[in-house]
Formats: sequence, C-alpha cells, structure tokens
Amino acid sequence: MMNISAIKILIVDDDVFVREMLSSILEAGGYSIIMAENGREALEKCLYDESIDLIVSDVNMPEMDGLQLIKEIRTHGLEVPIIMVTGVSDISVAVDALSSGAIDYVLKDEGIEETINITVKRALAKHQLKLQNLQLVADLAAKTSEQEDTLSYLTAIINNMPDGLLVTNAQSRITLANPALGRMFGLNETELPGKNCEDAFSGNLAPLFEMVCSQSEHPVSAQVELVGGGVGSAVAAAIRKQQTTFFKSDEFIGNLVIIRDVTSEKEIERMKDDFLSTVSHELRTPLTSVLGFTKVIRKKLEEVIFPQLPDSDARSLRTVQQIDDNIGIIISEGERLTNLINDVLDLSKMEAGKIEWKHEPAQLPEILEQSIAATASLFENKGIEIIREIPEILPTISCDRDRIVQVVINLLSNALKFTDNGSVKVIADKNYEDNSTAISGQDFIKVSIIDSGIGISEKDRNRVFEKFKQVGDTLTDRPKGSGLGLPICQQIVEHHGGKIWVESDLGKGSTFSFVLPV
Amino acid sequence: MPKILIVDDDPNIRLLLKQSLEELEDQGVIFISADNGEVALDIIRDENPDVVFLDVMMPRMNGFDVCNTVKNKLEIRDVFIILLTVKGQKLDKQKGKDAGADIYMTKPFNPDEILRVARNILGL
Repeated sequence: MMNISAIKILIVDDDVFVREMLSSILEAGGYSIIMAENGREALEKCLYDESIDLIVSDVNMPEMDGLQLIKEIRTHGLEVPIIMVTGVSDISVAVDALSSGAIDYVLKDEGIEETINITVKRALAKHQLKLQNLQLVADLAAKTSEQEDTLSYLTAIINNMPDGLLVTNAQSRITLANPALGRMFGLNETELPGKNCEDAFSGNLAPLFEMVCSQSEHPVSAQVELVGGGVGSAVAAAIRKQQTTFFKSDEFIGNLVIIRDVTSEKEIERMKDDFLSTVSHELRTPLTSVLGFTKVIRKKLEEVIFPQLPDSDARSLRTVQQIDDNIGIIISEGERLTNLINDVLDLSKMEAGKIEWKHEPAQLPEILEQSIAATASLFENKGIEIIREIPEILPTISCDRDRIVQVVINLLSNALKFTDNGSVKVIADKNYEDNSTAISGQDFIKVSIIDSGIGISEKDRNRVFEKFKQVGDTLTDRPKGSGLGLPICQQIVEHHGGKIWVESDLGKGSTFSFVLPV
Repeated sequence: MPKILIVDDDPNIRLLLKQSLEELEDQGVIFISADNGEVALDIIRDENPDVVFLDVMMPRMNGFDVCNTVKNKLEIRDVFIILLTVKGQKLDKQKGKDAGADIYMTKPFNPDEILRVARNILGL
C-alpha cells in the first residue's frame, strides 16, 4: 500500500457542507483532498489530473449527476474507483451505482464519519487488488505471447532445419517429427506423431527405433541408411526435465534423435580415398621402375662393366667414381620420394581416422631399444654416440607398438640430422606428472630425445609440428626429409592420449619429449 | 625346369622383374609373363609355374582375385604366390592372407630382394 498522504481523493458534492465534512474527515485520515461541485467539474478534473486515486461522489447534482459521472469516467477509459454517497432513502440508487461501475457506496447518515473511512480504505485495497490482478493478467498474456513467439521460432527452426529430428516421449511414442526427417526416410512426417516407435519404424528406420529404446545415459550414435541410398549420421540423447527439488533426480521425459545427411561427406571421403589410392599407385609405378632399374644398372656396372676398365687410367677411375656417386644420388632421392609418398598417405589416413590402431600391452624400454637398433648404423656412420638413460623396468603401456617405434625412430633421425658432433641422449622417466591434464591420478611415462645440435629458434619452435614446415632457410639448407615426420609423430602420440613438445637452446641443441599414459 | 610367372600390366615392371631375376635363367629357370590377371590365371592352370610375382592393381582381374581363385577355388597348392602391393591401396596383411598369398612385397621393391626371395623358394 502506498503512502497515505500520497493518495489523492476527489470529493464531488453540490452541497458545500457535505463537501467540507467529508473533506475534513478524510483529511484527518491523512489523505490529500481535492473537490468538485458537480459531475462535469469532477470529470474535467479527472481528465486533467490522472493522479486522482479515488472519487467520493454524491448522486444528485446539477449539470451532471453521480451515475452520469461514472459512465463518463468509464467512457473516457479511466479506471479510477468511485464511491457513491447515497441518501438512506434511495438505496436502489446505490444498486444502480454499483452496477454502473462504482466500487462501493456509503450511506449519508449519522455514522458516515466512521463508515467513509472504512469504505475508502476498503475501496482502495480492492482497487489495488484489481490493478494487481490486471497486471498479472497482462503479464500472463505477455508471457503467453512471448512463449507463442518462442514456439513459432522453434517451429520454424525445426521445420526448416536440414537435419532430421525425431522426439519421443517416455513411452516411446512419437511426439515430434520434422519435414527433413520425412524427406530423409521418404515418408509423411505429419502422420508420425502419436504413433508408437515400434509401429512407425520398420526397415530403414529400425536403427532409429533401437537408438530410442536404448534410453542410454550418454548420447548414442549410429549410421543409418536414407532413402535413395544416402547415408545419415544419427545421434540419440535422452531428454531429462530438471527437477527443482535438490534431492530429486532429473525426470526422464523422452528421447531425441537428430539425423544428419552425410551422403556427400561420405562421397567426398570416398573420392579422397580413391584419389590417394590412385595417386599413390600412379606415383609408385614409375618410381618402382626408376629405382629398380637404377639398382639393376648399378649392380651390372659393379659386376660386369667396372671390372673391365683399366684401373691404371685416372680418367676411367674418376668416371667410375662419378657414375657411382650419381647413381647413389638417384637412388637416395628416389627413396626420399617414396618416403614422402608414404608419409603423405600415412598422415592423411591418420587425420581421416582411417588407421586401425592396435592397443597392446608393451614395454617402453624394448620399444626404445628396437628404435635405437634400427638407427644404430646411421649414428655409427656419422660418428654420433647414443647415450641411454632408460630404467630397466617401467610401467606397461597400452599402445600400437609399431607406431611408437615409428615416433622414436623419427625423433632419433631428426636428432641425428641436426647434430654434427657430440651425442644424442635417450631418457625415459616414469615420474612425470602432467599438471595441465584435468584427469588427476593419471600416470605418464616421459621419453626425451636430447641432441647437441644446432637447436631451434623460439619463433620456429611452434612451427616444427606443422606440415611441410622445415625449420631453417630453405634456400641454403637443403631439406632432408618430407617435412611430415613431426606432424605424423604428433598424430600418433596424441592418438595414444599423450602429447609431444620441444624445448631448445639455439646453438646448444634440442630436446623433443613425449609422454604416454600408463 | 622351374618356372617363374611374372604378372604386371606395366611392361617396365615386367622387364624390371625379369632383369632382377635373370641370373636364374642361367640355372635353367623359365620365365613366362602376363599383362593381366585373366591371362595369368590361364597360365597358372596350364603351365603350373612354381613361383608367381603377381601385381595387385591390374585391369580386368586384379591380383587378389587371381590369388583367391588359384589358392581357394582351384586349390592349386604347389604354387608360391608373391603379391606385389603398393602401400596405400586398400590392402592389408589380413586381406592378403585371406586371398591365400604366400608373402607380399611392397613397391618400390629392391631387385636384390626379389632375387633372394626367388632363390629361397626354388632352393637355388
């Protein structure tokens, strides 16, 4: 209730004594009072001053009587409540006043001093209640309209989205199916709601039904066949209504299945596979000839031609040496090209998730020894020593052994490539804690390959794991490799749930490390 | 006389295989070649070669199907088939095994390796 002194009451009576009496009574009650002599004057004041909260009006007045005043007030769209002051004799007028829109009436008798105050209070309260009620109704209407808008938006989205949508209730009865779903499965989606999943889904839709009925806690996904031989990727999830009560678990109210048409993605994927397969074949067939014949030529030269040359002739000797060197270059470059093709294929398969990964228990020390053995001759040729700091026993890891060997060989070859003297160190350590990983309690084994080579500048450090990015000046430093080795290592390590990184001091050497979960 | 069948649709590869193996010619090994799978299959049936170097990707009938027909359908046991595959083709160890190949080698191959394998099989 607002402050009483702020409540403005208009007293309307042609009798100045009544006006003054009512005014003094109500003023004593704390209200602000204004007055009018008849209906016409009252109406003008009301139209002029919208802050009038209540009218207390006589019935019989010249120019415009009380009943007329009510009508005029309401005709002008004013909601201000009106109390009629009527004589004892004309109670029927009070009834008329009420039916015309007065909020209450007071009898002009001895007790008016008390009754007027009560009636005013009651009328104001009643009016307040009415306003609140109106506000609630208006709020509700606004909310309803807002929700209708939201519903319209949602309906428009659902009906126009390219993905198929199917919603079922807790009893597996279909409650919603959108036009995309109809198109995808060649059926009329408007006939679906109300049907039981089991009845509606046969043939192509059977997998959807299974998804819906599984009511799994986690979203489930499946591949489904669409009309016209297309492929859809479907995801189903349970719909749960959040409970307001803290201790109650969420209520299961149905399932949602979203189907995306992935036909063209699959087609593109297939085309890419075909392309890679063809390219790799078409590149390798001539390479096989080039490499093979070169090796045959070398063998024939060494076994048949060279022995026939007089070894006293310096020119012949030089020529033999040159031919031998040149053939060596053809072969090593051919092999480099072969490796590049292999790496491109490997990486594109990994990125496309096409590699079938093995997960076998393996001992890291064995993997490291195998990798060191595979590169030992290269190290020997360059006169670089390999120093091992590998504990004999490390926790078993689950991995694709050949792939991890590939990583270690790659890192060892890199270390060797950039180290001209000194040594390369291989360190394995089980006491590695990954602070950045959210999964606490996960143990990792860390492997580091430390070289004493040229090192990597800070700006290049982040780029070494990018494809075809070989650090250094490509004009002066001839690249030796595909530029795909480290990206492949990264793919492999990350697939195993580990990570790989590099630390380096320019001019002092680099440390490539990776961790694998135990 | 031991016979070696060389199957590849690329004439250069056929020549390369033959040259890789030519030392064996002096030891009396006979070479036959075929440029597609269908011809190869006929030759295997009619001539009973001891060793077959068989390319996988060929027009008309691929090496898989030839191998599968020889080993699993015709049940010819006394022929040693070497599948010559190219990495990146849809071929893995399991598929090669299913087709009945005795071993497989990847292209580009080393001529010395080809010769060594043939010598081992023929015991020469």
